[in-house]
Amino acid sequence: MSIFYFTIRSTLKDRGFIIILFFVLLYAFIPVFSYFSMRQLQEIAITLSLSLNSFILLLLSLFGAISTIWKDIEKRHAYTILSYPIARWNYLLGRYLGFVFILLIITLLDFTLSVVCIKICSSIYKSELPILWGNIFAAFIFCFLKYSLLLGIGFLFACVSTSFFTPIFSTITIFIAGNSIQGIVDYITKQKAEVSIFIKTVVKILYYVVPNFSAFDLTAYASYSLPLDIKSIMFSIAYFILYLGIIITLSIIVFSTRDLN
Amino acid sequence: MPLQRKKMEAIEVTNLQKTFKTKGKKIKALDGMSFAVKRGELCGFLGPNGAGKSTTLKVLMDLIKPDKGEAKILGIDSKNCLARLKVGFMPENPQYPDTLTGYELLMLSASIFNIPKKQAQKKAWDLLQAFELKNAAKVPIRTYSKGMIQRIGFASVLIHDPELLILDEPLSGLDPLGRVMFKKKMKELNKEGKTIFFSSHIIPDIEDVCSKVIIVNKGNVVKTLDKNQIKYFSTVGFNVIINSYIDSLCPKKIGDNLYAVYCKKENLISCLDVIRSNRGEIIDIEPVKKSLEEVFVQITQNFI
Repeated sequence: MSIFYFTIRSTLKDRGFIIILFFVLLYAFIPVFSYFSMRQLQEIAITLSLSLNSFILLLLSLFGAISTIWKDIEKRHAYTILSYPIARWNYLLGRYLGFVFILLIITLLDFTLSVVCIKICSSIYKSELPILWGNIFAAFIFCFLKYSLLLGIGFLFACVSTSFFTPIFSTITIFIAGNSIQGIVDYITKQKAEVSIFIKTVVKILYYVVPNFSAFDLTAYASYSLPLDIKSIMFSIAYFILYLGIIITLSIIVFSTRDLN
Repeated sequence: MPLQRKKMEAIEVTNLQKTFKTKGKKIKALDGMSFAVKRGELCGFLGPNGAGKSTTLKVLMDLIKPDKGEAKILGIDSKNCLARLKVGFMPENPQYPDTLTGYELLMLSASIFNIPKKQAQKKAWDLLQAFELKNAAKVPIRTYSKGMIQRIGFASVLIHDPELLILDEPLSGLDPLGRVMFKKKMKELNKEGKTIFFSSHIIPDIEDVCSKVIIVNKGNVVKTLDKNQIKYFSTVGFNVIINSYIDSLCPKKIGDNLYAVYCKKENLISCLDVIRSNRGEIIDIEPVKKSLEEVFVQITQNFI
């Protein structure tokens, strides 16, 4: 628990975190940008709110892996922390959960600001669609789950690599791949004859290896007030737990066997 | 049970081996390192740069995994994090998270050791006072001078009142006042019953405070010297002061009716016999010493 609290406290004081936090101010501009859409103010406000939340969490999850594990090893803070009677798995979990808590707080802050923005926009021009706050909240929470997973992947790369760039660029690569893999698979399955079996096999393997971030995207359900499919929601949660479990276990194994020279 | 605990060594290192691979090259850092430090000792770990001192300490703190061998702290395998429960470790040139202040570092250490908050606060302020850091308590450590970082590092390893202190080059980079303060503190803590094991390549520091010295080179122990052995190894001979001239000894006149005879340490007895047979009176016997530095060079050269 000490490492969990320490992570929260040190992150809140970190200049990098404070700079990223300034992006929250962009919520003030959402009603202005939504106004340009003329008749879809509410829908655009919801989409922009979710996109801004997604952008802030992306920056935070990339920053999280670097500012904790990588920095601890590179700047030798880990010598101090790990010389206490703390097992490495405990340290890694404390660091991860501390930062996940930060992500959760920022998500809730973004949601609160989004509520204000959406209320303003919907009052300017009444939409035909109802505002399903449950859907919007679920979309924010799933966004949080997605970036918690990305943070875990960042932690894994930070545990493996000694370089600054490897964890950053590997995590960005996984992020891009994870967001596009579902689209690629859908495209390939539709093109029955034109795609070679080899490419299909490679894509199929990647489909199971790369995290499928599309499973966490509920933007359309929130913006257009579509009914949520409980089955697919439960499946996404189970997928999150399983994938995160594997990633964190791998990170612990790698970090526990690593020499801290 | 308490009797068993008393007998237990504070540190036991057995046949540690470690090879690092850097850019395709293999560097043997530890080559069968074995030694023990008893409870209550103030033991120096002396060796040139690259001798394997820091690697050994990192294995003890489980920061580095050995290829072979084992290390025990207070009877517990060093791979088990519980081995560090009664240990205070200060690494070489300690680095602390940028955002922490001196006071927060002490409180973080205290929280990890589950010290109740009020007790921890009191202990933290006492330590800040003892290490003359009270005025800098609420200032981020990143603004501290090197000496202040060493002091807050030392204070942070004392907050949970450890039985054993493992310090990696604690005196390096300190000004003379800081060195005196650290050495005094180490002696005090040792008197209180704490075992202290510290590495250094600065010989006078070790000579000054240690009751035992483990000399290492090329990843292995070259020699272990206790206080008496340090005296024995550093004494090369004696100046025997007598009050009469004895031909056979060819003494040097150093004053009115005072003569000095130099003899090697292995010849002292025969020299005293000659003085006695000539009815000479011994005024004083002064040991002629070489520094531990010379002893160290001699020992490591013999090892090479």
